[in-house]
Amino acid sequence: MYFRFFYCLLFSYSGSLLAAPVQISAQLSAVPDTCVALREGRNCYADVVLSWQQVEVGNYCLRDATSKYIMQCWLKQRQGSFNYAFDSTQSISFELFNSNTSQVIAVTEVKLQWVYQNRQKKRRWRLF
Amino acid sequence: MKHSPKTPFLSCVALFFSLIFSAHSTASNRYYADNTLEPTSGFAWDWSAGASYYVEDSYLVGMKSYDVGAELDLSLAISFDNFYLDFDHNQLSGGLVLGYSLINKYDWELDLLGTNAQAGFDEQGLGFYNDGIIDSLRGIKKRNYDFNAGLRLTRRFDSSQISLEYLHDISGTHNSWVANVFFSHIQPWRNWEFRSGIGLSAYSADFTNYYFGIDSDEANATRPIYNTDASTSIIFEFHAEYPINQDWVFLAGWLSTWFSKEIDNSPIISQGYQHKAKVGVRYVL
Repeated sequence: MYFRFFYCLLFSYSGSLLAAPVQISAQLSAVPDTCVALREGRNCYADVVLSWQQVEVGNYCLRDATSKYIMQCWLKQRQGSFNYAFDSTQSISFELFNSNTSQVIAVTEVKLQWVYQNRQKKRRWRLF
Repeated sequence: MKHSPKTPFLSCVALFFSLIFSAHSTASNRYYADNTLEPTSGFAWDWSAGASYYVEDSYLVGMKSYDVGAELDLSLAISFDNFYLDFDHNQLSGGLVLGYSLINKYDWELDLLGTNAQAGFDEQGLGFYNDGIIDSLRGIKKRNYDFNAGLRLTRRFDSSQISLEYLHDISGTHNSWVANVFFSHIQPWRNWEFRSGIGLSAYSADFTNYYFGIDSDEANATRPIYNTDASTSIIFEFHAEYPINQDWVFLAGWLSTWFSKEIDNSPIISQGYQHKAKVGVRYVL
């Protein structure tokens, strides 16, 4: 009785696994993907982990999408991660590219938000 | 202060208001270099709300050494051209200020100011949520909140500021002067902001005797008549804020005040200092 229940549970579980669509995680991701500063215009700091994965083994590099500064390259790899110390007054985009072809494969962004506006931008209400 | 029986209720109310109210808030504490109490063109307003949990060690006799409770942190700043009204309850040094900017040039400011300097108290102690007479204060006359008007001269240095104030009571409470000097500094560190300040206040003899003197009607076997001279106090504040996310800010504050012997020796004062600390959150849309 117990065996029957166990097999039933096992098959139903494996069946659900087989039935589920194949999940391919994002090719390049940033965690966290948002940095929150207290005030507008002030530098925001965050320890961001940039992770990438590819189906094929290859030579890949990670760079700043704006400055094109290359942060790290991997040889004959299909996945990797990079710890990035975010320190900026604006959002930053990152690119993963194939170092053999220079083709950009994936892009991600760390968005910058803030809580308080600059003091000159006060809420205004006009009667007329 | 006697807060304990109402603390759960107040906590719920505070949390409710913190969830309902929100604003694009900016700093408006007059003692700090990023305050928004500057001349504007037309009407401008700014408000915010939050809730905090505090611990207080009051100087009044008969009060609990470590009074705890929850409180709302409501702030409102309104300005119309050179006039402004500010009620800051985020920082412990905040309060109600009515002002008019006479001069605002380069890094100097001269303002006409109206503000409260001393909280009132009575037989039930100091604060809003009293629920009974304190035995050691039984029989004292009510001391009212004062409201003082005067001049404030301010000089800003990037993230620092020094303010000089000379105020005179216009409410008829003590009919005398109060003078303040306050130096503050704002220091960001990573995503934190640390705000610290130190100040010196001087109070006239009339002020000191109104709040801390004991007249013949109030005197008893354990509370002798007390008449004294002008007094002083030193204040230290530390305030920290950290963005939890785009809408929520964590804040923590500490305010310590040390009083001169003219206040410390009063029969209704238990110690020559008082401390208050709080931690809280503020919701900002």
